[in-house]
Amino acid sequence: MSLTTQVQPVRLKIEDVHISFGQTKVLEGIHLDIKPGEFFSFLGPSGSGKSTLLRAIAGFGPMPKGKILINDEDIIPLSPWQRDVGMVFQNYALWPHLTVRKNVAFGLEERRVLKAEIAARVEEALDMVGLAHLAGRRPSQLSGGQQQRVALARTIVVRPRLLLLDEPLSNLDANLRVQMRADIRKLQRKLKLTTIFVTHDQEEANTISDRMAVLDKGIIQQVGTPMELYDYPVNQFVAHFLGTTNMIEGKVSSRNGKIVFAGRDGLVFSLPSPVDGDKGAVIFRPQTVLVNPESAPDAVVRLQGIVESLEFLGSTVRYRVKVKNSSILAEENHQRGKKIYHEGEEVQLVIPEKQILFIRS
Amino acid sequence: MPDTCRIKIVFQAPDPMLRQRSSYLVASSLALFLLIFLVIPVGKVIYVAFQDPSTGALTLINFIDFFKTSLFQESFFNSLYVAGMAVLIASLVSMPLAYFTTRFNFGGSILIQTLGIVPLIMPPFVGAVAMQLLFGNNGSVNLLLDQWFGINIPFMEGLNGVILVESIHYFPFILINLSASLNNIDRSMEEAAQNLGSSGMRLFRRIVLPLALPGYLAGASLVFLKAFDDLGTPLLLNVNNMLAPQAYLRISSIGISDPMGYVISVILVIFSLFSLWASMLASRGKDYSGGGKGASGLLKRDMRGWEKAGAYALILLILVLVLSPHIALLLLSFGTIWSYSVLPDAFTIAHYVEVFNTARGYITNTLLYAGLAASFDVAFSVAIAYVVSRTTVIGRKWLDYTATGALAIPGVVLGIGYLRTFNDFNVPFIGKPLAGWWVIIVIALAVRRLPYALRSCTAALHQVSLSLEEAAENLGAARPTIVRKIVVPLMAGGIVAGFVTSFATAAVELSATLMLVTSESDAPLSYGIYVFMQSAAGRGPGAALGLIAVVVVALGSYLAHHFIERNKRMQVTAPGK
Repeated sequence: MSLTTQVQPVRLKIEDVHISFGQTKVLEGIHLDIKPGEFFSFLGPSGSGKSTLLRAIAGFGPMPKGKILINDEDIIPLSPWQRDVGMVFQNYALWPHLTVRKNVAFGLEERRVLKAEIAARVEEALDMVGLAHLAGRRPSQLSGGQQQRVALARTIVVRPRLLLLDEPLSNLDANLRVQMRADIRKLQRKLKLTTIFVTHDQEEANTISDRMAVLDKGIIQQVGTPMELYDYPVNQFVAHFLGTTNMIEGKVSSRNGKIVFAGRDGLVFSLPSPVDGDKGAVIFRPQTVLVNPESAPDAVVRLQGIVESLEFLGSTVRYRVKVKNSSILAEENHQRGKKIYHEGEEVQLVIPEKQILFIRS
Repeated sequence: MPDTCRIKIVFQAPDPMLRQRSSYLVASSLALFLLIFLVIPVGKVIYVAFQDPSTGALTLINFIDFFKTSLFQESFFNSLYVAGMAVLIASLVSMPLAYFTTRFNFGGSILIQTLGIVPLIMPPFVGAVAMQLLFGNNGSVNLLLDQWFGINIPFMEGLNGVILVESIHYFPFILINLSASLNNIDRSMEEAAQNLGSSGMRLFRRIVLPLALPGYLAGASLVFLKAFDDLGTPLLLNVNNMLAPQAYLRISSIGISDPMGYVISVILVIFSLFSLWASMLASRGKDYSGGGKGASGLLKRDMRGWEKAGAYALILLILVLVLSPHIALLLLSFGTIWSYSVLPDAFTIAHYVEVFNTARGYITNTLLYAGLAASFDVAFSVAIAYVVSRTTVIGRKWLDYTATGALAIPGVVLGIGYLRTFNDFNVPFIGKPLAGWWVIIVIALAVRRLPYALRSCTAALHQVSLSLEEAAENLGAARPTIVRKIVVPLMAGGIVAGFVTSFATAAVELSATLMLVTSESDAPLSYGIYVFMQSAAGRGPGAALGLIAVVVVALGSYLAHHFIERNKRMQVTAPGK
């Protein structure tokens, strides 16, 4: 059976899972439905419970309450070695006393696969990660990126029902990380494996996932495609975690038939459509703020301010503009010869209304 | 601009030539000492072993004679057999203990960890005679067995006795090393195997065992080495057909010109080197520890009821066995007459009174010798450690290798080497040969315990970040000032630990001491115990002396541990390397 033989990918459902270490609750009320063949990410800061949830799917850590279903079969009663759920560990966990070939063959040997088939499948898996020529080496003789690939090969060679990746790129340097992430994505497509990827890096999650869940303090904050979460965060945590944002807290009121948001610091925004609730915050991303634009769309919010500082980031220039008592970030695309506003200069900021999002608190 | 302050910067440019010269001065005096008191004596022993006794020409005839003599053949195989069996029994004792403590959550773990240190605080020869009274042919255990079951087990018969005593005393080497390597295995190693469908014994055999093997081998080779070289235990148990006793007896009864003592010495050195080399090989390039990230140690689980009962029963059995030399020694030291009975007839403190009245010299000698040797060891170790890791002196690594190499030189061999090398050298104003002067005992102790102090000081120096020294240098301090004001204070914990370890182990050294003591008035505690234990009447006072030695070593070990821990805590608060 070849690695790329088509098999039906599985669906993973998590129903009301709670996990605690002794008295400390680590995860509460987790519900998820991960579709067959989906590349799904758990994104969150350290301590958010994302790794604990992944490990619970593999059967490690404290016994969870609730249900973890693979194609409607609850796997919680199963031991880790009965689950057939492949996991790539953050530190790779390659066995130092075994060669690369023996590492990759391990799972097949445990499954009592015939010797000849083991050899062929190990070869194929190593080939797939481009390491067939290093089969005789020991893990300590490999670079970090190569070890990562061996760990991946060792996991996929047994054709697990699920592929779990626990921050697999965190120990690699920046360039390698970008390349590995593309490779992992390609491999996942080829194998049609339902995959869960844990990371604390939003860029990594954005580029690699079909959908993702943002976790904080043991609770799933929001689930959706990367773009949905970026554009329509449901709370302040998600808004901030997925990228730099301007946020102004305040109250919504109705004025002359128009819906108006009055910020705590005296800024007033008109909102394009009615919103739920009255207390909350408005958010808008820095790159949606125009600085002294020559022309502007119709429905806009205009603010007068003074440039406090500017940061040159290469592709963009980020201005920090003082407007009343608030500092507002505005990011402009940079190109040669573009006008730059210096510290102390007065500028007008223009924010299209439809870029402003109200978040209830 | 008012000229109010002027900063004057003085660059105290250290003369690089001068600095080089002082490093070389220190290094060469260290090298000279090691040459005179380690390399030359050992070299002399080896040379004599290959020398024709009558003509002085180089020859293999001594070795041929050795292997042709049936007593030596027997001794050779007996030594191998005893060392091998000691490793086997020590492994059987330590493996389950190491497994229990690392695999399960249960209270017994702490008990085992503590228990594992207890045998080390008593040198085997001290307990040997007491063990005979407990396990011997007419000892307590056999008397009870005879009474209840009508059987007699020859625990202490001939070589069995040596094996039993050595394995009870040295099994902690395996226990400690094996537990440490089990605890260092990254937890994800086991999880990865489970994730790929492995479990139970299969997982243990394929992953856990191979990963723990280096630690086991390191411990096992130490046990082998110790049991192979030990002189005091076989002598006290009256087992003379082993290598170390034969070497001693040849030299002490026939004289220092008899070549057989030297041949045996060479064989002892070869086997010691071999087991040290094996342990190094086992651990080289196999640092399987997890690198600090994530949890390490095996996956722990709670024990079920019957498992717990079984574990405690096993631990209790081993506890009794491990403590038996101590219990026997205690009984012997307080007992009046203990012969053909389960317990002594009555109890008394007469032996202690006798020891304090007649044998005080042994104790004061020991404190003096071990104190001098340990002070010398730490001074020497700090110097070596510094030269090795902080200077560019050519060949500095060899200082380290040579000093550590003392570990492979059995006490008997060093003793013979000193006798041969320094017998013709008369100490000015003393009118005695150096080999017969008490100072040579101190030097022998210092050389033998140097590796312990060196290891401790090297580790301490490694903890001192180079940038702390550079900061001092940057502020204008010169090398000697930096060493005195920055390096040594930061190493203090390690230095004290090294001192105490050297002191405690030097206080109970017997083999080199036995060769070098020329008069009772110069003899230390270990020699006193040996002399007392020779006669039936002296056993009581001997045991009392032995118990005093145990207390000295126990106190020392406790202090060493205390200072190491304190040093660790201090390092935690200091910034990272």
